[in-house]
Amino acid sequence: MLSRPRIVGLFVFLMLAALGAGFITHSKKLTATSVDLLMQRQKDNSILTPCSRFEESYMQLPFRDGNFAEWPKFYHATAAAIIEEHIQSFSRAPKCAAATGNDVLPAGPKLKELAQKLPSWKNASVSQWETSSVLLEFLRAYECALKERLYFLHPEAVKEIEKMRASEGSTEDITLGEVVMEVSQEDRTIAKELATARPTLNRSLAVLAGVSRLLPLHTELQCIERASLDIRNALALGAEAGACLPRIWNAKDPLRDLPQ
Amino acid sequence: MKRLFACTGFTLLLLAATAHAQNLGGLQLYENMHKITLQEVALEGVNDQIVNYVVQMADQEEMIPEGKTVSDMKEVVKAAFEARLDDFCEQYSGSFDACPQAYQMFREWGLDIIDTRTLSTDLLHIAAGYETGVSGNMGEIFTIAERTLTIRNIWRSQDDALLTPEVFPLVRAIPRPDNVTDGMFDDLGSELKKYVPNAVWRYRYGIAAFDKQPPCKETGGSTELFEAIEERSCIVEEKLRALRDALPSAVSAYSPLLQRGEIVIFPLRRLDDPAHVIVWMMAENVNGTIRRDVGLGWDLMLDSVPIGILGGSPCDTGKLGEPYCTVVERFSIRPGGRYEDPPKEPGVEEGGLCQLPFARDGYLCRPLRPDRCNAEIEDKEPDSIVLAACQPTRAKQPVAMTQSGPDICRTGWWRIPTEETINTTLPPLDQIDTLRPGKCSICKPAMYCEASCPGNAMAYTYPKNENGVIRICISSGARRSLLRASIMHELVHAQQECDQKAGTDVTDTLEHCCAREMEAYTVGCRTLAEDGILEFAGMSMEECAGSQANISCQEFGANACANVDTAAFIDRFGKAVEKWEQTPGLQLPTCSEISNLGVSGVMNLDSRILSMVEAMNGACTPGCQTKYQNTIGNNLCYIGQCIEQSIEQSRVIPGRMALVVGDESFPWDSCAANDSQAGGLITLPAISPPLAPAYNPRLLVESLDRALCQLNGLPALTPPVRCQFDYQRRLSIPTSDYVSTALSFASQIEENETPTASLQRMTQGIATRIGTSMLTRYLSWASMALSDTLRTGNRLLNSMEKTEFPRTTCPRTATEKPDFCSASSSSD
Repeated sequence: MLSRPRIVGLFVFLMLAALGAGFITHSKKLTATSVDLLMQRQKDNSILTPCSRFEESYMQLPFRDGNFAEWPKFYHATAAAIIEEHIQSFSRAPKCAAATGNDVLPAGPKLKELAQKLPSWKNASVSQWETSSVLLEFLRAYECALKERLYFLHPEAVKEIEKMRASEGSTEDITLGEVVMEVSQEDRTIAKELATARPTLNRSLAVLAGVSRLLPLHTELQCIERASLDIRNALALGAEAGACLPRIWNAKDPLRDLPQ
Repeated sequence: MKRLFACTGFTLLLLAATAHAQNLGGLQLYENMHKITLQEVALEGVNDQIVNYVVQMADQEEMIPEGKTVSDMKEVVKAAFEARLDDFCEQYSGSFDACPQAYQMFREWGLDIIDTRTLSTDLLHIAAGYETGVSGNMGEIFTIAERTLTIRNIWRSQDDALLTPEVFPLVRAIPRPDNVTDGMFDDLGSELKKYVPNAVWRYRYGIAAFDKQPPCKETGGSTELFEAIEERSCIVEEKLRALRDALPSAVSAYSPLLQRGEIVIFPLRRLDDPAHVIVWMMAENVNGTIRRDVGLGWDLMLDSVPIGILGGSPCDTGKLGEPYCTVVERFSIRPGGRYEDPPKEPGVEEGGLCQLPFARDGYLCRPLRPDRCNAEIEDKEPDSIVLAACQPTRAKQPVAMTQSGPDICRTGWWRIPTEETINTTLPPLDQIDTLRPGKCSICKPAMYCEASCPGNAMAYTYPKNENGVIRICISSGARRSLLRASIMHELVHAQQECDQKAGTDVTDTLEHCCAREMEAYTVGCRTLAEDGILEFAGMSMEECAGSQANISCQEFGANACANVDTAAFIDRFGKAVEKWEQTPGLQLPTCSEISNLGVSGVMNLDSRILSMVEAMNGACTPGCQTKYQNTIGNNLCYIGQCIEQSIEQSRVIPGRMALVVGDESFPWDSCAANDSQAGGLITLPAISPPLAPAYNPRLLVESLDRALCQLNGLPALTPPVRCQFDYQRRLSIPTSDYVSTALSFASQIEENETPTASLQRMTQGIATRIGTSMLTRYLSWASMALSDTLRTGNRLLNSMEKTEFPRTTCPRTATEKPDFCSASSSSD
């Protein structure tokens, strides 16, 4: 049996421990295992975020709650549009007076739109030179979303059917057969997409890499061409003034007139 | 590198393969790649070529069930490809006995051949990516040559040609004529859709090549490109000809007049449908006749040509072996796929790639200078690879000399003849004494066709007479093919004499003779090179000018001017001229014909002759007109001539000297603004020929070997396969039993497969970077002079912009302080 002073002492100790814990909990000091620290790190360095589709960084991509059947269409249409935009960028006039190399050929609207949905470029400018990186990051996000969908395929399939029912205004119960069919269909789609999305992009980038290696040179040449035109026009003015040179020399001498 | 691109291009263009099978022309890049990947991975969207191949393979392997025909099997194979096992078994054997094996076998054959085709397609796509922009084909999404040519056109002066040892075709771009309408392109596109990609391959070098072919006969439907390469699409030809005929066909329809050899490019037209296909149009002045052409091309060549898998007979048993050819001839398939030798097509016979405006500058189409550059180098470093080496100049004496100052752009090709020059007529030869120079010049050249010239020469320039007239005799018997060069040569002599005293012999000493003759022959030989005579002779312009100068100055000794083989030159040159004169369609006027036609005759011969006459008028003489194309070089020619004319003809040293130190030479000198020093500290860029960066393939391969060994944690070993397998590893530490030791041996290679594969993948990227780095190093050196000049120009123009000019003129005899002086004082 504990004596009264001992009980009081223990009580005081526990109170102090609780207060201390409360103090520590409410302080901003983060420990190595603190979730806040991890969140803080993720915020500070969002480039290396995990690519979960439930991460805030990837929220703007339509891979969280969107209609699954639309995922492949969205992914491939976006990639195709950006690659086509990149090809067309060869005929786009560069900003030759830009202060930095990246600003010489800023990203086209489609690339910019996608880049802003990805954590690496969310708060940064993107240049047309970075097309491949943006697309590879987009692919990574897409593959992550597919794999995550695969891990939780059965509940996701049920949700998908529920959504379809809701959109149709139906209140019928979901049968096991429907779930199995949805799971099977999604499984096939995911397997096909995981097998084809990366090789497709790699193939496209292999062609683009060859073409794009000359894009900086092509851009520089366009700028040199414009600078040359400026010099030509200035020299043409100089030549106009040069027509007066013989008379200017003569005019310098005030003491004689040349015979006309 | 260009040769590599072009070689790959030829491979792409010519090698046999399926055309329809890979018809992806309507798709954009990504969609195209997606389709290929789906085919490769999931056997989705497999085309009839693959189905036919697998059916024929089944026939060869005797896997077609009794009662079924080859055509029945097409649906069976399709069912296998589409993973419909039930349908397959029902159609194939009606039961499940042995059916799954056949199902799997057919799918594997399909996957195998698709795998092979995809590999070749991938490689061709990668090559297409690397060639785009530098291949010389027309219509690509960008063309480095076109861009550099534009820059060259902005910078060049026509007189630059005299300093350039190579003949580059003149190219200009002009707007599309109004009679070439959008509807014509739409019509072409709607017809072309039915023939893509065969027709694009077929007409990529233009429609003109088909003019000499038999009349068009529709032969569509070929499944393999090596067959399709002989196909013709009459309706497409008709549409292309309609476009071509709408282009201007006369020299005079182009402004300024189209020079001999000059090329006009009209804006490319990208067709809305089919995608990636463009239409190019060009015109060229070939010996006074306008040759027009229209052709097709890709902005990005995605319709690559994979290996052929069907047909292929007759089969070369000597090369391919009896068993293979038996299969080819009996079953009409090429197991594993093959590239067959393509037949020669008309486009190639007519010049093919080399008649396209940009490609003709490439190494495939333009030989190295034979006199100074040689692919066979005798004294080269062992273990080194030398593609070509060029020697320095062979001239022994000065190659040009002037009376005073540099005489910038004296030849005058940069000037456009004025109306006054064009309308000038000469009096008869017996009244030459009545001729006088015009107000703009101090001399007057007068060309006459005469029965013979002094020394029995083809042409001869007399010294300037007291009236300032320089008589030029052109022999009526002068060889027509050399007439243009001779006239230009003599006009250079006239220019040399123009600012000399009357009666001066400009070739009195060895130095003078060589300098004057080399300069004149440089101009003449340039025209011979443009005509192609020097190419026939296999000699360079320098060799031509040097040899002829040696002949003209032989009174000072043999080979006095240049260290070239003059005797060999005479022999080769004579034969080349004879060969050139046999060129079909060559229309060469005689001297009499030219003089009868007057100025128009000369214009037809070469408008630059009149420019050379025009150049004897001072560019900056008050009251005289000077016309030239607005380019940087031409403006500099004009400014330079103005400065020279000012210094040589005006009295720039004042006739007034200060009495004591501190006196002013001119009134109000002290009020003058400070010298802005614009251009005072500018250094001219050093112009040095670009050097190809060192290429050490052995070193690169060795470093790759080293990398392989490093990946496996071993020191560098030769051959590198030793890093893959080390027999001592397991033998020195054996396992408990022989079986596991043997298995360990076998798995040793597998362990290293991943690093080896990753190295192989990396190698392509590393090699690309090495290649790009070499190109960058070359370009940074080659463009150094241009970038320095641009920088200098920019600085000078900035300085000029900042110059403040006074608003009042200098008073000549003012006794009171002028306004600007007061203003200057007050501002101080």
